[in-house]
Amino acid sequence: MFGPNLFHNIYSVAAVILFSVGFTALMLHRNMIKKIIGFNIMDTAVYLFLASKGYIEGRKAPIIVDNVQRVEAYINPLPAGLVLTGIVVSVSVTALMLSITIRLYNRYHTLDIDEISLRARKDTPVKNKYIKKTARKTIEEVLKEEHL
Amino acid sequence: MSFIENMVPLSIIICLAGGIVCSALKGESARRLSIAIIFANVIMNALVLFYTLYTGSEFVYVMGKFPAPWGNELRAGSLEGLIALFFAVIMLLSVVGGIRGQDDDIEKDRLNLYFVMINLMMSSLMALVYTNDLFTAYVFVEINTMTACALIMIRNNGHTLVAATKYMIMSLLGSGLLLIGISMLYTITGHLLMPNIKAQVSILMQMDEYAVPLTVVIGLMSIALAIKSALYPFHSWLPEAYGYATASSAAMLSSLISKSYIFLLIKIFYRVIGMDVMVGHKITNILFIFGIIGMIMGSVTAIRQTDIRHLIAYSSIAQIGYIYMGIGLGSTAGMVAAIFHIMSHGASKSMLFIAQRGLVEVSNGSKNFTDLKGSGIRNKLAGVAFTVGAFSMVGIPLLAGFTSKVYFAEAAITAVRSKMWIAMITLAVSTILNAIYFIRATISIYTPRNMDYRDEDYRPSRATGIALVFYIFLNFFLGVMSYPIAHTIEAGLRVFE
Repeated sequence: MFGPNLFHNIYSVAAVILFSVGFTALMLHRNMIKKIIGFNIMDTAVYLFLASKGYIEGRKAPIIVDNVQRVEAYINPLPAGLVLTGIVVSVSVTALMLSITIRLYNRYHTLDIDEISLRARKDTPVKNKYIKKTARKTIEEVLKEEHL
Repeated sequence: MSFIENMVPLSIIICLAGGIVCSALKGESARRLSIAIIFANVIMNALVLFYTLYTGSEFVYVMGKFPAPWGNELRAGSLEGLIALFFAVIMLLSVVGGIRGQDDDIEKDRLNLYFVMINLMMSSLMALVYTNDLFTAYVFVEINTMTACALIMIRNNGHTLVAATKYMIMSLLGSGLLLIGISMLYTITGHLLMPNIKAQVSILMQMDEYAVPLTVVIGLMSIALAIKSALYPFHSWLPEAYGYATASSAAMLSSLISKSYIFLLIKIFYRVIGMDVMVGHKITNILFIFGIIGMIMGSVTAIRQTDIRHLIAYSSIAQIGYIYMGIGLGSTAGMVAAIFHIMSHGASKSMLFIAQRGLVEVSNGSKNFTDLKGSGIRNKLAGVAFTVGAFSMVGIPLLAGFTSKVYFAEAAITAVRSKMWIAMITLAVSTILNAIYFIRATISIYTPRNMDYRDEDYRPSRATGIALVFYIFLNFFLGVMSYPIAHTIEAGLRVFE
């Protein structure tokens, strides 16, 4: 079952285990914040995987100093570039998710996604000017009440 | 290099720039600018399509003039041109058709932000269609996801917020799988450009190396894109998102966003891994089974719905099942049928979402079928458009949906015997199920009741009317003129590899 490469690729193994931890947390946790943490663990695991694959022991970043031009002296810089791009993406997604969570919390006063779904089902009808006037608060009114 | 080749990067960049400009404009001018940009996109993509058809070949646009293994590339053949043109047309029609919906559902001072998102989504759609680089595809998949989330929750109420959250969670699961799949593929092939990966994959297959990682990669990427495009067991986010978002957003979500992921998957099938390797790894069988289950389950659930929005949403799940069934047949004919169905479903489903809005307006704002009775008489054009869309989804001849079902049936006959029987029987059963709920919905909107809802001051939106007329025309066009389109798809697939 375990090939001889298992210890050679120990970082990749750790990365895949972390990925599954994060994936499970994102999928199964009911708490929004824990979901976001799970998402971050998942993405960071991918960066660990890429970084471990991009690094070769004893070699250096490909910046030519002392006129060493052999390929064998350097590592491939592309995985690091991919990690940077991935970090940018995951930071923006995290920011978006956190902002949604804040809005959900302001509206339903809980972070539990199942509870939120239940409360949303009983929510006031959707605003539509073609509906005969129903008592519905605008978001400003709701926010004002919450702050008082 | 011809001048028209510049249209490909321009169509992406003009939308990105438009998004930035829209954030500084007032709502109404942002809308005008966006419509102009999308219209320009329609023209540019039409030029690309005719150029590729005229020269009969593909071309590669090298970004930044770095040569192949290092630089980033865009590639356009007739298939990409066709899909990009189709996406731009549907985008234009759903933005124009939903103008009144946007005014009603979105707060005035946030209207320009909606069009920031529309522009960003347009650019990411174009990039997903044209890109030749797998990691670029991943980045634009994420942009697509985020803009879709914003498009759902721009309508400010609890339902859309919850729907956007659920959408985001499912999509992030998909993105994570896609990212690790791409990373693994990069580590075993050493490339990110699609043709280079494919060359490496065929070498790996010949040398019989990295067989297990390659299987894992194929599984990860297929499942990732299946989650993101709401294939049956992963559809839980879909009904709420389509049910409560504003009409334009729902039309775009169903016809463009989920379809762009399917197109990316087809691209991965043909241009990254290679169709023979994919079929050899039996992933097509798995997609086939899930597609079949989706075709039945989506329709069965749709029959139980009393809300017009949810009915259309669950019908989408069934139609996504059709597309995956076509892909799962594993033959060129199946793929042509699947791509044709991407177009016919896109044209019909977005029309249903826009028309549904017109019906709800004359039914006291209720989406329930008891209130919707007679709405087809109160708002004639929306009623006709809804009927055309429903008939197209059922598969009445002369309409787009019929033609794609014919292509599916033709593809199924030439498939393996076991798949042939399953596909043919499921097509028949699913057509009957479609007919049950869509014909019932159509009868219901033409039952002359609720006449007291008639409001003498009510005028249907003119923009919606224009969009619906174009939609009806598009549906008939896809149904009647299907041969040249299917021919273009087939020719495009031939140069795809």
